[in-house]
Amino acid sequence: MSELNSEDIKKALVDNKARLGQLLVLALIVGAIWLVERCTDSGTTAQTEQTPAVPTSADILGLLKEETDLVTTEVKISKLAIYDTSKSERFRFTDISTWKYGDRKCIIPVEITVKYGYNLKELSVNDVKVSDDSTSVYVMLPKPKVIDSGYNLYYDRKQVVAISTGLRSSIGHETEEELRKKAYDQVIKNNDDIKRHVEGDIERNAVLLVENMVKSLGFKDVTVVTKNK
Amino acid sequence: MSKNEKKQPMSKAIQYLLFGILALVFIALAAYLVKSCLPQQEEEREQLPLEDTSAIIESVKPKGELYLYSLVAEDFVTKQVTERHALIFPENHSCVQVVQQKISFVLDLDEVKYTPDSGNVVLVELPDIKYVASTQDSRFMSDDEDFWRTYDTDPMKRAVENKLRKKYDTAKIRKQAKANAQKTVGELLSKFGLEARFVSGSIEKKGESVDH
Repeated sequence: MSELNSEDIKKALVDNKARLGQLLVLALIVGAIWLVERCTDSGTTAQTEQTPAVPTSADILGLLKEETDLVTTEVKISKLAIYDTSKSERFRFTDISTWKYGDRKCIIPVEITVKYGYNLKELSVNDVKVSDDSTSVYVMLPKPKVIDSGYNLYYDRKQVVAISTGLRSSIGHETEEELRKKAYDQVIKNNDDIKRHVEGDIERNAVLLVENMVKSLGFKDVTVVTKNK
Repeated sequence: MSKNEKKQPMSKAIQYLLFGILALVFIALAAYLVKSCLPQQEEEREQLPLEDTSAIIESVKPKGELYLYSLVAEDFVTKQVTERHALIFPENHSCVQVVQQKISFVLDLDEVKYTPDSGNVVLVELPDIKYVASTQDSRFMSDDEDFWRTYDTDPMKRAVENKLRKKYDTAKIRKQAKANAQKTVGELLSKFGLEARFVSGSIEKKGESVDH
């Protein structure tokens, strides 16, 4: 009887060990699944906590700069930032980084504002001539330049087209913001093309503005020309 | 018989041990996969070639603004959200919204009032200096682009904009900008042989407060 009892105890111990082992394996598998899920992201997310923004000191990139720039024309430009990996990426058997299954495509409209004008510091005494009887004035403005430019900080996400297929990561804010910035940089880089289109307007607006300003000072006959001519 | 009974649980234990080792190998493999997929995402973010598209001019507006002071500043706000997997495992997600703006103090020339006074003196009344911010860069950084995809970033952008404005739209800078406006307008009028006399408030009350 006593022999049987000890065997029962041994059996029970082995069974317990086996159960413990099973539990350990189960826990390890659950852990592994959770780890993989964490990486691939799950559809059922629960936002439980929203901590407020924690601001720290700001980075100042430029110091206060004194300017005397006269803006005469504001140009609004719209550009589509188009990103398509099917056109830009090429598969190479020898390069593992090109082994990508699927594509990423994104279209975002960007609104850019460019302000053109003149640096008044470039205006010398020789560029302003007043007649002896103080009735007529001749003003020669320097060449126009970009005074200020920027792009829209806020945008309607309904206007954004974002597609990612296969195993490619989806397009989110990071990619969108980068594309918008690239589109803006491209427009500013090719500023001469835009300037060529609006040069006449810049000049016309400058002439009108300076003429009105000088006339309000009491001068009757005002002639304004720009150095472009 | 009793020997067989003793051997069976032992072999079972070895089986479970093997399972355990297999699970560990599985975890290591998963971790390796995770590690290898993350740099690929980074790479995808780094290389974003844009297609060639034309820039369309929407409008050309006449302006009359005098830019007095400018600076380029950058600031950011952060956000943290906790995601719960299967209602048990919490996972914190963080993101940063960075905004870089060119901040300028601008005088609207259309609102400047010139009143010829005696001789070559002109009374000049300047309007309030305007604060103008143009966005140079807007970056969003997060630990998981897919998780934050549906999140509205506008409140974060607004918070950065407000931070920048609070920091730089100060009475001291406005005073400096106004002094610069007076200097510029004064110099401009002197080129026309005129002397500017700056008045604050209504021109009719010019005798009450005159800034030279």
